[in-house]
Amino acid sequence: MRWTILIGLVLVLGMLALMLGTPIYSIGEVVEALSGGHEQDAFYFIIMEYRWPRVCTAFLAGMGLALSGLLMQTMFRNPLAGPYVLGISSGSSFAVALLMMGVGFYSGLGMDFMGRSWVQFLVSFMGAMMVLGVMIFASSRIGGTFTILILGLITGQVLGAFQGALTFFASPQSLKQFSLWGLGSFNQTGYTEILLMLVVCMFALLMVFPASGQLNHYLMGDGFAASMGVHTAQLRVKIILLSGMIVAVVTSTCGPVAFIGMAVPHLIRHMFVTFDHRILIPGCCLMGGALALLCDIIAHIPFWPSVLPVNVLSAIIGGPVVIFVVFKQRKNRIHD
Amino acid sequence: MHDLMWGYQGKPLVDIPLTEVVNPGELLVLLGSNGSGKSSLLRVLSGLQKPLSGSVMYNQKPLTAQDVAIVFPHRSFVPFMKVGDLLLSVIGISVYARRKQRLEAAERLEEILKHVQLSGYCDRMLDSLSDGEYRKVMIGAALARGANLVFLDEPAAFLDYESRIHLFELLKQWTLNEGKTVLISSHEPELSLRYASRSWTLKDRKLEQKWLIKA
Repeated sequence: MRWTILIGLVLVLGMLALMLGTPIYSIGEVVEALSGGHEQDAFYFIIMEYRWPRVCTAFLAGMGLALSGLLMQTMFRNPLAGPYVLGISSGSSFAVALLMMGVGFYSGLGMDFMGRSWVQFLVSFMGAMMVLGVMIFASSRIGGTFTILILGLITGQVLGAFQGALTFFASPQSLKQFSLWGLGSFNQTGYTEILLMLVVCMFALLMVFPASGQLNHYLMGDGFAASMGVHTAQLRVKIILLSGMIVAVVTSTCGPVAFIGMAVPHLIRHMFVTFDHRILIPGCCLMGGALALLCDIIAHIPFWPSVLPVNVLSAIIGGPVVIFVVFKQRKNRIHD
Repeated sequence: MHDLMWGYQGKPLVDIPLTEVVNPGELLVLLGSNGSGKSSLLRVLSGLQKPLSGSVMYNQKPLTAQDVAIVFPHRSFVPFMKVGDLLLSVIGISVYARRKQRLEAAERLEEILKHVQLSGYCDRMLDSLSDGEYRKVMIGAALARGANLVFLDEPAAFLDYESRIHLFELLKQWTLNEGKTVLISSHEPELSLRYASRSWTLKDRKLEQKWLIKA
């Protein structure tokens, strides 16, 4: 029943995202376009060239972020962990800032070249992977999860400061471009990026889902997990690597999208009343996708003169969930 | 165990390497004041921490973490996990197993819970348990594991006097009837010495051994 609701939610929201916007199309027109209509029709063009990639991007981004959020919450055994805390989003973001404002300004290369999506993707991916490398190195040396959490936060802050310094020297033009990217958006992507996101998300899913049982044991503590035959150190590296990859791909294509990764796992836990990763993993994927689609629909609300930034919406929707969790957490852990 | 040294960051916690043989069916008590190295010895013996030198062998093979069911004093908070879920995962039965298998498992779980005086706790959330109840569940989980080596770090903490006596009676049964080897650490010797077959005391960077005559 709950699965039906989730899948239904994704389908309905996906359909709405294709229909709504300016102009509004009927279900019939959307179905016709998706099943291969006439290329000269305006609705076919708008739906297939503009809205369909956006819907795919939103779903995959939400799914990836929710999955990586779940993995990080499990790894740190901390309900407030999310893609931001490891500093991976910041690494990705900083690299893009460097590209848009630093290199663009000093090298004299045209904005035209810099704005190309594949250059941006590559650079942002490299930024994320660099932070990821540091995190893996640190986790093999230090081991403790809280230390990594703090290290990730500090890395994020330091990179944020460098980024702030960059904006200080940037040209107005590049600054605007970067600010827009920073607000997050699902409509900057072509089919290449979508395919890449799909591949990364599916790969992560295939790697993680069979390890559900191990993740369940891991929740009970390192000692318990080890005595149940889980290689905790290996599992940690695997989680960092996979969630880092997802965050890198999503951030580079959609900008840093806040709160979805942190909020969705909680929604699913409460919805299914479970800790079990065999349910949480597929649940988070669907709910993450649905939430991102919802943000996308509100962003493109019909008859609104401009498009709202995704990051603003995801924060407005996801923020209250996080606050709810913090309060609930305090109540539960009164004697901790 | 053979020529065992343990400690942190290259600094051993004892002066003389430890070489001991422990037989099946023994109930050992590890005594010592705070910071004497009880818990780290337990971690090393259970394969969770590497010894500084020497090795721990079990049945002529190097011991791995999976040979040991260990219960730690600290508590993990896992939202929405039920007592039954934990025990099921410990005995390796999926929530999606066949109905018959699940019914059999449910009976077994009830039996385990009866052993630790928690009948009817199967559907209770772990979060809602008191510290003492939580400890009993974890001891039950160690029982359910079926491992032959059972290590308990400060098992008596949080338990009331009656429960402690019950716990030691239970451990005694495990060692006598099922040939399990039980090692518990404690800083409170009174009760544990009444039941143990051997005691190790960590004092002044040395391990003193005492054989105790069984009552």
